[in-house]
Amino acid sequence: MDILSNLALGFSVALAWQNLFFCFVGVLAGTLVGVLPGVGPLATIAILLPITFSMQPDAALIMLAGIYYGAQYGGSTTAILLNLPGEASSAITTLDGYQMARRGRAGPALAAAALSSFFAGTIATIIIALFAAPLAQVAMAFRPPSYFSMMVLGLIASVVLAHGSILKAIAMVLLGLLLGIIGTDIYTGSARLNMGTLELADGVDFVALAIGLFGIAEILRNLETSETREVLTTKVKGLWLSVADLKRILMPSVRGTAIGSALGILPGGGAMLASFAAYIIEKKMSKNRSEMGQGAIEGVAAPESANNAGSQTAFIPMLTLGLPSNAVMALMIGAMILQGIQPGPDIIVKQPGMFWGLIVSMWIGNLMLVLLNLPLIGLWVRFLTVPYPILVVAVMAFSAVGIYSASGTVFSMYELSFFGILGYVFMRLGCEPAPLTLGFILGPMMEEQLRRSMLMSRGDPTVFLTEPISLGFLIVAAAALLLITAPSIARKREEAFSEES
Amino acid sequence: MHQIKLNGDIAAGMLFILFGGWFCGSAILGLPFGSAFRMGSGFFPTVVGGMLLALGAVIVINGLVSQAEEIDLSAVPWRAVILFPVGLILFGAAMRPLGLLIALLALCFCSAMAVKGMTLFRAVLLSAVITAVCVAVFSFALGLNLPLIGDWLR
Repeated sequence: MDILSNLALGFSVALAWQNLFFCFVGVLAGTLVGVLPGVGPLATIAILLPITFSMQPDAALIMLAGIYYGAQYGGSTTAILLNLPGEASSAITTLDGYQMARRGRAGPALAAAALSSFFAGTIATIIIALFAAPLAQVAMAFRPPSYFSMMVLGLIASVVLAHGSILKAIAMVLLGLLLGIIGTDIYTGSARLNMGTLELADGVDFVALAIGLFGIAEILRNLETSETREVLTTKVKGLWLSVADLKRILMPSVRGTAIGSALGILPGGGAMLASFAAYIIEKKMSKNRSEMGQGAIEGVAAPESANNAGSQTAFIPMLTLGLPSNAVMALMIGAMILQGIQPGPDIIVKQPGMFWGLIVSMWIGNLMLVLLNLPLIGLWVRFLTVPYPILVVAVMAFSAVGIYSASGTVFSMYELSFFGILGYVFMRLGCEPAPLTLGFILGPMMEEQLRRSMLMSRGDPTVFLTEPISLGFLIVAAAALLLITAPSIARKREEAFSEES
Repeated sequence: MHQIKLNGDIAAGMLFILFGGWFCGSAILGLPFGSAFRMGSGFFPTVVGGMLLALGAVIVINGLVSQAEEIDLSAVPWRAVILFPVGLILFGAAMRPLGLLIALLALCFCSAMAVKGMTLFRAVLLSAVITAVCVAVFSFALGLNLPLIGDWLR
């Protein structure tokens, strides 16, 4: 069996002691930022990016991935104990999880969250192992027009699933594309759009952009309100589930995993959407649906398994197509590029050790999370008492040192400041930064594929419509745009009508 | 008659017009456009910049027509908006001549003072602690090659 030998290779990489160590560091850091509201996995991955320069590529990606799925675990802990979702994707877990905790069933709720997440993580790992290689094989046959259209679809999907105004999200994507092509034109080797500075000739510093938009902007946002967190210390007892509880969470976990895996693969999907969808479906299908919202254990298991499955299958398009399906994946691709690895379907052939090692490490990381989190819950909750000023200063210092050690120029500090303020302004104006990041990563790739396609077709733009795969992608992209605009138009009209009457 | 107020849509749209206009304009003026067959380095920025410009205009019009939420500047943490860049640039400028220690202290102090209700004493204390942690993590644990003491002080 091919799969078995691949998985064996994965285990041999993932179980190397330094990879195990960095996996551990990743899930630990992930859990921590998952617990702390106001610091998300995006900001953390961005801040830790420069540190990964000196690491082996497989260790770097294993650690960054660990932060991402570790944050899903940490987020659910505070959601259940404090009604405070540390992570957006665990917002829905507060509904039933906190109710359970109020009734003295915090232990079973936490155990259900951890076990269903682990179950989902295991299944998702198998799904990645089964489907990644064939998908990469298909993608290898893509010609430039198909590639271009696939990226269009990816960007449209990120727009469709962004919060708020679609127009603004599209504008953010376009701005990202433009920022991404600042620097040197790969075809002629001449500098362009660099405002005459030498520093910009290598392009905008991706790390500075990411930390600015997600790290510093987020801090500025949090400094708007100076609320003080109240932390109630609840004693958590009885982390073991009864057989009856186990039976109750089995089917919700299976359903949640299925929904999460499917939504995670879709570009723009990922963990948050998955947990919401799983909860809604559970509310329709569960035998105990009347209890949902009042402390039903199904209401914890379903979204928690879905967000974990979704966060893992999101790696499939990133690893096999080089297409980031959300901002975290964009950062992962950025990390790969910084390591000198060109993302795309041939990664699986050129870097089999890294590819399979990363996949297996996710399963190992999930196991670590279960073993780590349940005994240490009291410790995590105590981290909530860390005063915000300490976090502010620590994030600023870590970001600055990280970026400076990578670039060695004062200019990167200007970039960091610029993108920090810009990110804050955009947040205030209701423009999400995630589509911009996707555009930034895809900008140079899209331009290259566009130019290749046009060379191939001798300047005939209809090549995007005559190439079947490309046409398919464009049709799906157009359909997605239509679908999302139609109901929002309907809603707007409804609002207008209700105002009239 | 209603008076036009600056809402989120109008401001965002104008920002997009500014960016789109800059990219599109500088590509048209300074870069070879080429043809659809052999695109020059200016093709992509001109087209995408133009699209951004147009979209920005649509968003502004949208903002003029609809009643989006008005911008409220009172919540903006002005101290942080000014002190963060100051701290970062001080940090960058101080690295080579003064070294990591002093650069970090300056940055940490600026960031600490950006928080509302911070006292001078606590800011100094916080800066010292975070600087020590950073030096321990970066210089000793990770072995980054940044000089602790700069050129001028040796």
